[in-house]
Amino acid sequence: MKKSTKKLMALLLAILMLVALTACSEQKTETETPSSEQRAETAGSGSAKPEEANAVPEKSYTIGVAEAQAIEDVTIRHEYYEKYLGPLYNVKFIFSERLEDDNATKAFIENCIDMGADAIIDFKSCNSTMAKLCEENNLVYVINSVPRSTNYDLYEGVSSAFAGGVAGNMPVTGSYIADWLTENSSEDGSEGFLISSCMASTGVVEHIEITTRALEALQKKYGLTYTQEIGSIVMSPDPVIVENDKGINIYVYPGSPNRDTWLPGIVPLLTTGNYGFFISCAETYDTTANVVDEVERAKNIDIKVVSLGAMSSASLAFSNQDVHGNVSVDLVIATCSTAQSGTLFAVTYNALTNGVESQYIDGLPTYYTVNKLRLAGLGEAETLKGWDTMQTKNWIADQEFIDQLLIIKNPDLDPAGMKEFLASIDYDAIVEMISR
Amino acid sequence: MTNLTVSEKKTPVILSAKDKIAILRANRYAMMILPFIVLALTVVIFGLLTSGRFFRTSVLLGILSQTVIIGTCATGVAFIYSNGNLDISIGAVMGFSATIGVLAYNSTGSPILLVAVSIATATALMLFNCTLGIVFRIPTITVAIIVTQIYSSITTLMIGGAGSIYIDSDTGSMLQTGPFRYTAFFAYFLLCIVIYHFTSVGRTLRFIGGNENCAVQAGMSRNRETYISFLVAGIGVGLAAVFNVINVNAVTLDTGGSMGMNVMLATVLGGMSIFGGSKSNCYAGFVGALTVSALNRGLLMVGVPTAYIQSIRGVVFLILVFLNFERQRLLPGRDQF
Amino acid sequence: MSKIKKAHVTLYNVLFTVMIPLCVLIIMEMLVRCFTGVHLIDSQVDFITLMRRVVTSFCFALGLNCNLALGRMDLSAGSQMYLACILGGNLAMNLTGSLGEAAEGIFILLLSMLVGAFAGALVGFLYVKLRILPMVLGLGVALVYECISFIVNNNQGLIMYGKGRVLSNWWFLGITVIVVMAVMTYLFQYSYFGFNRRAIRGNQKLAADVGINIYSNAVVCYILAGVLVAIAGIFTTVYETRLYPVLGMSSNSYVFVNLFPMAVGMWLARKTNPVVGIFVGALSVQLLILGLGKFSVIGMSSYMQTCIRYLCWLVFTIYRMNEDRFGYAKERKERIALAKATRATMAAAG
Repeated sequence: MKKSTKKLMALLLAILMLVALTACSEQKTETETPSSEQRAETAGSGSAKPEEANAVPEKSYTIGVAEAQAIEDVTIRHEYYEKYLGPLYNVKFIFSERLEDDNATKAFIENCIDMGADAIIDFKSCNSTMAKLCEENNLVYVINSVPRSTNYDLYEGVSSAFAGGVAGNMPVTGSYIADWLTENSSEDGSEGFLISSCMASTGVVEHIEITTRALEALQKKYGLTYTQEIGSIVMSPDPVIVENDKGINIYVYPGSPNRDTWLPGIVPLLTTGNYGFFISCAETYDTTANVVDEVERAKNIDIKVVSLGAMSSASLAFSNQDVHGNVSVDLVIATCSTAQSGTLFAVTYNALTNGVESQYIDGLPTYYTVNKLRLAGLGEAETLKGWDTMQTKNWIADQEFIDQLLIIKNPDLDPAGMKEFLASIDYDAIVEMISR
Repeated sequence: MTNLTVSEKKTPVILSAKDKIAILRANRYAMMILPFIVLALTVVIFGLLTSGRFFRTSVLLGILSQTVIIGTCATGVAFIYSNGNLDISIGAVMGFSATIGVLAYNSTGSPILLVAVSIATATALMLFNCTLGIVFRIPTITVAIIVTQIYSSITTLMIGGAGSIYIDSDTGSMLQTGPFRYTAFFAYFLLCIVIYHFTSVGRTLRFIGGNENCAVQAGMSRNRETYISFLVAGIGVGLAAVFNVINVNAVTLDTGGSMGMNVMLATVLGGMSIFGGSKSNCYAGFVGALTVSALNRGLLMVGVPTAYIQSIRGVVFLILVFLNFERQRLLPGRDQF
Repeated sequence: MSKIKKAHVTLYNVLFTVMIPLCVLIIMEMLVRCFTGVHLIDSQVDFITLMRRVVTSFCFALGLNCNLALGRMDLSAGSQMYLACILGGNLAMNLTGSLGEAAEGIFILLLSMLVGAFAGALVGFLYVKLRILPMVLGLGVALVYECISFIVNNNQGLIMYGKGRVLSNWWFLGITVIVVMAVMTYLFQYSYFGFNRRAIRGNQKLAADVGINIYSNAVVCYILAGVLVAIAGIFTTVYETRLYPVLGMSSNSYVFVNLFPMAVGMWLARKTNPVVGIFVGALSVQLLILGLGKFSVIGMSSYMQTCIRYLCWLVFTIYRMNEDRFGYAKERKERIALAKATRATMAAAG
């Protein structure tokens, strides 16, 4: 009996392994153009470009990347950094696990120091404590944040290791949403507006910007007078029923969508059917897709959804229709993953090759913003389909893009020039890039 | 007297690997030193794999530095585990007490108050947990699960919208880099060793953990010993909260997050059963925390992808647990609810 | 016991079991209506949301109960759920190709259950062979399973956006509950496995001495737990459209969150059976959560709701652990009254 049980277990496990290997193997999608990695490989062999332009730098650097989350963007970044940028620029990367808190970030940086890292790109803590640790150990420190309440001192020059920050272009993102809201809301505002301010209360600039601009847009359109200051509404850690003189239903709901309590908190609000507009400061349109659909069916209303999003799932979102035949998401503000990650890399690399001061303006560190992409329909989403994904490995921010941000390729380049270049990268510019 | 014939000569006994392991596990002293051997082996193996880089002073000191927080908690919590209780709310207690301590410091500017208030708050919360368990006869693990959420929610409300509360970096650096941290840690560690291994308190705790009925029949007060264990643990958690704050000059919403599980992991890895008993000791948590820290750093230095580090930790954990603990004849279990 | 008395007892047990969720419903309806002006179950959406949450909570709590009732607190249940859903779900999506939506959804559910069974079986096998304490084993296995879930599908977990919609339909949820209840009731109450399980629960050593195979019973318990948590996970994932993998033993949070309905269920199980008890317990707790969620409309934060929910659990636990004291106090009072009456009678006679 024991022997047959063992044989059965072995057989079942073998079948499971076979099925898992078969099903989980990467399916190569047939694309007309080779992936960026394949292009990078062939570029060096028999291409017409001069050798100097494609020469891999001799000096090798090691960059530690402190990650805050374990989402698709992070996976894309790892692949992009390790398999694409790493070989091109002779850089080795050390990636962290999802870091729980500042202590974990500090431990990771200390580990990187022992492993001989030259720089740290910090997505998690982004504060002067980590910068000082890097300074003590001659590392360059770059963050994924613009100036905010927890790191103003960094931009005031508190640490000589700090080379700068990179983030999405918040004012532009805010204006996309504000403009869209102004165009698409009704004349009397009777449909109601639910705004998920996400982590605005903890100082995340992007969320503050979106929530503020949305409230300002509503205020301007309907001539509202709020009983509270917009600033205090946005920064409130508790939900706020935004009282106004016209009695328009506006509700601001804070809280990180990563927490278990976020969705159970949003569902009762949507279920009331009092909100025809749902604006979210984070990538939540997929998480709330089902509840929005159910509420639309039950209450026979149309809820317009605006959210940040990923390029990879945007076309699917626009393809899905709700019960009224409308698309289930109305506006997606998508991040070009490689543009942002590539800019972070470029700032770090410039600091390593030319010193941290090469990234200063007027003797102080500065920040760089990367435009997000306004996708308001299926057509726009379909154009970007297949780019910056793990399946195709077609990277928007290819070598040509990165070279334009590097001082070693452009000796006259300064931070102002970098900002100018980044400001020119919008949806149309990206479409032109990928069509080439 | 009989003379041995040729056929009766002794044949050498050949022991199988299973028998050797069984003999080793039956040896009490072998089990005591096994965690230390594992730690030493970890350091040596990674030292060899990294061509000696792992032996650098900075690396070894870094491992010690990263271990201080978990080690402090684990040393105190060993008292709780010893008499058969379980408390996984220490992470939430740590966050709560760190928040109160930081608020006290920011109002007064006194580092002494930061330390005192944190320790006092943590001790009060742990004693509250203990009281709920004793007075209302609720298993301590149930109390822990419930109060974890309550304490975390209150901490979130106290920290408020900012998501973090900072202390000035000068004070933090002074406490972090000065003699305070290691002095406080080793003083607490030594105190716990003395209380646990050289006084009746420790003996009583282990007796109760080993056989509660017998201990009670012998006249030992379970309630009194439980209170003492939670008191000592509270001091340790409070001290760990201070170490946590001065490490990063702030308390955040994530402070103390998974400390309960990490302490449990470290304790088991250090060779102690989380259900207590006569073979318990209070240094297991510290040794286990050193092992985990060395393992994490070593794997990273060797170049193992971060995605795999946790699974290697899990496998090593299971192997060590298997070696450390006596295999029971029947299936082990314990009523928790 | 006479037939009439037995019927009375049965009726009392049924009424008691039904009264608990009914009381929660009435109390929450009154509070919600009073403070927010809306009903507790205001529309079909609330009903479906409640059903979905009850199914997931019931399945997970029942999965925990498979082992917890026998003194095995399995901290790896959450990680089994992640592994089952992510590996099983992705396998199913790769294998189904262009099947109809309903068939695809069901296939995802079935394959996740199969992977969950394997995951549970492996834990059970390790438990039986290594004889490590279940809680400790659960910790180690959780580390490994979380890691595997993380690595599968390029760290993206399971994405079911636009897929498996049949799993969101209320009638499918209802069918699932009925099937799970029927199967588990049979297994726990009327099968040899169930009889053996209850015998082991009474006294493991005696059960082993009598000839019950405690080892195979333990493995089967773990397999059942794996299947049940997989069901819970898939329904949650379909609703939220994504299941991101987690690391650092964060999967334990699912275990702790579902201990409340399990505890209520075990208390109610004295009147009926564990399966019905846990279902009613899950229903009661989810009615409480639904009601607390309605207070978001008046601006109550999620942290306050969490505090209240866990305070309710604390109060319930205090009651549950001390209800014998109420009975004891009542009996003591009766004894004293009887003694006084007897003494008075004796004094009067003498």
